[in-house]
Amino acid sequence: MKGCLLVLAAVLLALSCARLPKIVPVTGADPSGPTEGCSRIFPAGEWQLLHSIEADLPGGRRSVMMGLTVLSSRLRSNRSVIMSLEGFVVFDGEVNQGLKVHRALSPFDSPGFAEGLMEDIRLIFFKPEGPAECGKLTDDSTVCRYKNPDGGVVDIVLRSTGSCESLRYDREQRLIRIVRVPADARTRDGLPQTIELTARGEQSYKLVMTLLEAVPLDP
Amino acid sequence: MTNTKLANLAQTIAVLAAAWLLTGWGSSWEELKSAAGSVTSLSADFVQEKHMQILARPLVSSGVFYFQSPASLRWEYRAPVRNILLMHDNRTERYVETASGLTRETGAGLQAMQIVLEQISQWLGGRFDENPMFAANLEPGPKIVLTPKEKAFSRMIHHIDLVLSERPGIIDSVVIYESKDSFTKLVFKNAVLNQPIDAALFRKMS
Repeated sequence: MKGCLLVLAAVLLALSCARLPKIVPVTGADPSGPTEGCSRIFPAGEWQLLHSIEADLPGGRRSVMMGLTVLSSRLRSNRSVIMSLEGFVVFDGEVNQGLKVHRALSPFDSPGFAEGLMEDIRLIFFKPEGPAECGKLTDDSTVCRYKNPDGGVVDIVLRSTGSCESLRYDREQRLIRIVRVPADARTRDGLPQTIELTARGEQSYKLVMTLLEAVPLDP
Repeated sequence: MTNTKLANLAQTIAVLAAAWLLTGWGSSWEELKSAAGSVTSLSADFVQEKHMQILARPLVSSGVFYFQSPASLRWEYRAPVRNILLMHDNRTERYVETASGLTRETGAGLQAMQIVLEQISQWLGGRFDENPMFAANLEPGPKIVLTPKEKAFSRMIHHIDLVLSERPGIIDSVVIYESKDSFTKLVFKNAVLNQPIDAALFRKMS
């Protein structure tokens, strides 16, 4: 019992450290100025993207899959497919004014999987909607903060090292997703070569996505 | 079916494809069985195309495989993600290229591969029409069409077409249909029959 309380205390301490940080306004700066920089980390236009995905899953399981994403930044739509390395489709879903699942094999047919996946896809590939509150964090990183309709918040953080992060907080202001794009990993089209997603909470996991192919679909 | 088993289903198909390469010419199941007995080893390069309606162009993978009778196999994707399946002396291993190098996969999937091995022995004996997972139909061409026997399995695989080559012992292609607008095509080339293969290829990842 004592051990459990210690673990609980440690978890609560960790969670308290991952709360929404304060934004420091930059004196004399246009508060919407950095939003363009924040937008640049997301793919613009229409793309067919293929990633290998190394997944560290609950229970110490590790899996390597492939992820295919066909997206339109203008329509904010995407079709996302998860495949085995051999090309077998285990999940195929689409967001286009609503979620539609075309194929979902076990365990990718579990309740909430498709919705959760699409939330992650949106955080990784799409600039948050709405006006942003911009400024600096205490470590001098530039930040743009967007409020989600669900009461949560997404921070786009441009670190002084050149790396970018998308941080998603829930309505309780707990950090639940971290998307990190290293500084030195861009294609000539400006697409990230590597993307790391860390999910916190009851179902914690980590995905390392490596870009294998990017096909522009714009006419 | 677990995620790992699903991944190994793909490997199963790859393995079966290797077995089919051994069939040689024949217009009846009996001829296929007879031809299968004359092959001791086989290697070939392959190119795999994944076709889906949503793709602007197919996803292309490539690799090489080696087979030694009775049941040693190396099936290796070299691009875009290196991925090696080894089967030898009733042991099955899989290695996947990750950020930390080639990493051995463990878990339930390997047990599934043991089941696959039992099936392979049937295929290598030319007993295509005795497979518990697929109903086989030999058609003119010649072409073998495989259809899942179980409804649950047919959710993953609709059917498989094997188009045999004019060269005995070789097939032209394997096409795996997952649905009406999604299929995977494997095309084999540079096949070498009945030549010695270094046994280390079946035991070591590199």
